[in-house]
Amino acid sequence: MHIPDGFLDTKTWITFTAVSGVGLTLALRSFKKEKLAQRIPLIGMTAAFVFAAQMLNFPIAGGTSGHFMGGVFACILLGPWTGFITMSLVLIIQCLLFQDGGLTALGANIFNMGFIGSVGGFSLYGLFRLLVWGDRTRPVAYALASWTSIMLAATFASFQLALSGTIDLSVSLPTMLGVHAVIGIGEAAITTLALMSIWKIRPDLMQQVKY
Amino acid sequence: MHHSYLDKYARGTTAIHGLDARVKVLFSFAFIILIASLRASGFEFYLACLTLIAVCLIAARIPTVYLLTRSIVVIPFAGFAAISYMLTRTGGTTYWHSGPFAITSEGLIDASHLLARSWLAVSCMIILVNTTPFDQILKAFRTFRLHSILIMLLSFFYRYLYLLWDESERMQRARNLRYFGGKPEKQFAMLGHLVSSLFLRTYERTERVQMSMLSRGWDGSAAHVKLKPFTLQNVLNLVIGFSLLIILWWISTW
Amino acid sequence: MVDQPLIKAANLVCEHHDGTVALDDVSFEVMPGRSLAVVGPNGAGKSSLLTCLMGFLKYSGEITINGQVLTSTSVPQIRRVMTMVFQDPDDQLFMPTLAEDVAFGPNNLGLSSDQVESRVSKVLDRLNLSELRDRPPHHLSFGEKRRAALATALAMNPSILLLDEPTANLDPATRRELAEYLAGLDATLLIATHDLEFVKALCPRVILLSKGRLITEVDTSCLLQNTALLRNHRLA
Ligand SMILES: Nc1ncnc2c1ncn2[C@@H]1O[C@H](COP(=O)(O)OP(=O)(O)OP(=O)(O)O)[C@@H](O)[C@H]1O
Ligand SMILES: [Mg+2]
Repeated sequence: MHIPDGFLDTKTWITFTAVSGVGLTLALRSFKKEKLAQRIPLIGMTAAFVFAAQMLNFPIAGGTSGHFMGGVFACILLGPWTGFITMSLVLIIQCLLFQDGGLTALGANIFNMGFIGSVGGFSLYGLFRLLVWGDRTRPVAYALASWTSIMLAATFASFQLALSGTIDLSVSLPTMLGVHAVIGIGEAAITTLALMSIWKIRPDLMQQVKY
Repeated sequence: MHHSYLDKYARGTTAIHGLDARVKVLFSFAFIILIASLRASGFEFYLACLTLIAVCLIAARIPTVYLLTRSIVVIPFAGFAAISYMLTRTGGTTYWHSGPFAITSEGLIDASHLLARSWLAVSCMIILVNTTPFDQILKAFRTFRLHSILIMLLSFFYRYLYLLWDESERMQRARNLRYFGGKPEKQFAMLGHLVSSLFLRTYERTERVQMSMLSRGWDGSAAHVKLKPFTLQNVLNLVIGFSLLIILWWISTW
Repeated sequence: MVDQPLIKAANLVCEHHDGTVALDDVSFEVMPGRSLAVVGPNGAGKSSLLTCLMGFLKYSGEITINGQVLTSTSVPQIRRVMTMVFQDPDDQLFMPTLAEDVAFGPNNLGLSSDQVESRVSKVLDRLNLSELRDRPPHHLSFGEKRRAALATALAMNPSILLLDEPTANLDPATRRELAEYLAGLDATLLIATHDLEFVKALCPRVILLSKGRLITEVDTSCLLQNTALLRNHRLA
């Protein structure tokens, strides 16, 4: 759901560029200077990891293949702000190097996938932790959070397209959500399996992050 | 696709490659913004843009086939969006209709504009990254006062992207050597393991990279980068570039 | 005046974050100009010893580097005189281009940009890397990466240089050139390796580690003659 150039009108892309720009600056500032510095290699390389993991694609029905977004995965392992920065990096590089997502739409894409998708999906996971937490619900929380993250991102993308007058909400919302409900299942499966397997091998990694 | 494909021609030696990265970045970004912000424009505008792209392509000795295959990335989303756009527009001659959907001449024209614009923007970006090494693009960002930590993060990203990409390819190959297909749930489980072990390897590598930074006296501040001065020639090139853009804009108002 | 040892480790015990004991009661000294080799089978604790000396692992016992006791406060000072080349050059080269990577250390020393530039060119020149200076690390061959990793450490002008398996994966000619080059340096070396030929060329003394314990400290020539000992510790 990387929106390309030309699909958002000027007011929409400027608004979302500003919102994401401010958000990213705040996220970078939210760290104490020393702490962020310590995490530079971690954040930069995890972003590269998310990108590389997106290369491992999985088949979806009908010959198309979906790939991993990784927003909730990054947030759960690194904490929401670091996860947000990580996903923003991925989207910036995808835009510059891969032309996946447009330059003017970069702010909107960061907002949808980096912020709403990742941090939003992560909040659901946080809610789970508060309410029902145990070894049984762990995979359920992972799966629901990552599925929701995809749906949230798709919803916001549809809204932006409608706001720009490109595609009517009555058309874009059902199609986007329909397609992404399926993609979301792949995302949920991979995120859950990967997180469960990390949980088995290095449980310390999941305990050290203070949210 | 292999990663060397991404910016395969970035280290060429043509005059376009020789231009200052900051000039190229500013020009390309302005070009993309211009294209994205024009809603409707005539056929002449697209022709002029196409000419500009073609001239750059030839001058930078980038094969046309390369540009065309690389620009396919726009199709999944742009194609989907353009089709829905087309089906919901009304006006002009109606060729087909069913329920709320219709194919009309207006719809066809508008949808093709949409596709043309996103294709032009993508082509411009492909030419930019194939005429400018990525480290220089990052240095250009540094001049534009982008957050220095963000730039350092991006440069880490770029550096380790290739390494991890190779690693994920090797892991996939190692899996395929010993794996002969199976049920979907098995495939997903396998993918989950690949993702988690790729992450753990990355994580452990970050610990070692950090040690190597610290053992060279790093105190946590962003790396120092030396920038070339912005010469008069650069200013001149930039003026020429922006004059071209103004001409393009003028053509669009015909 | 009697020379003070550059590195002095006494009753060193150190463990990894997960509690694996990597070194157990290790004591040795390195005198200025008398490079020391650390040999031992896989998993003996060679890499752990080097990272511990750089101040990356918790330890008990005492480490003194260049007269300073290694503590979290003295670590930044110590890293100005002692640096390390890691086993995997991809861990060492993290900047977008080779020249920037070599400049990374000197910049952290607070040198002016002209001084940094002259150091970088000098080091790259001496390691025959000048032509590759603007290349990104992923465009280098393994041997070139190895030399590049060494260049990044040498640009710090260290008086003590720790090298972790510097000859792994090098072709014989490159390995010989590396030995010649290292022999011509001013720095005192501490080399962890399995490559006994290489040790013979560079280090008069050797310590032999096995399962985290110091087995013996001897002259290199004695060690090479003692085939029984070598065989016992999987070195021959
Ligand atoms: N990051 C780590 N976390 C936990 N244990 C570790 C870690 N690194 C090494 N070890 C353990 O510490 C011990 C010593 O390992 P070390 O890497 O120092 O051996 P080495 O002598 O360098 O071996 P090699 O010749 O294979 O490089 C081993 O038992 C190893 O399993
Ligand atoms: Mg080792």
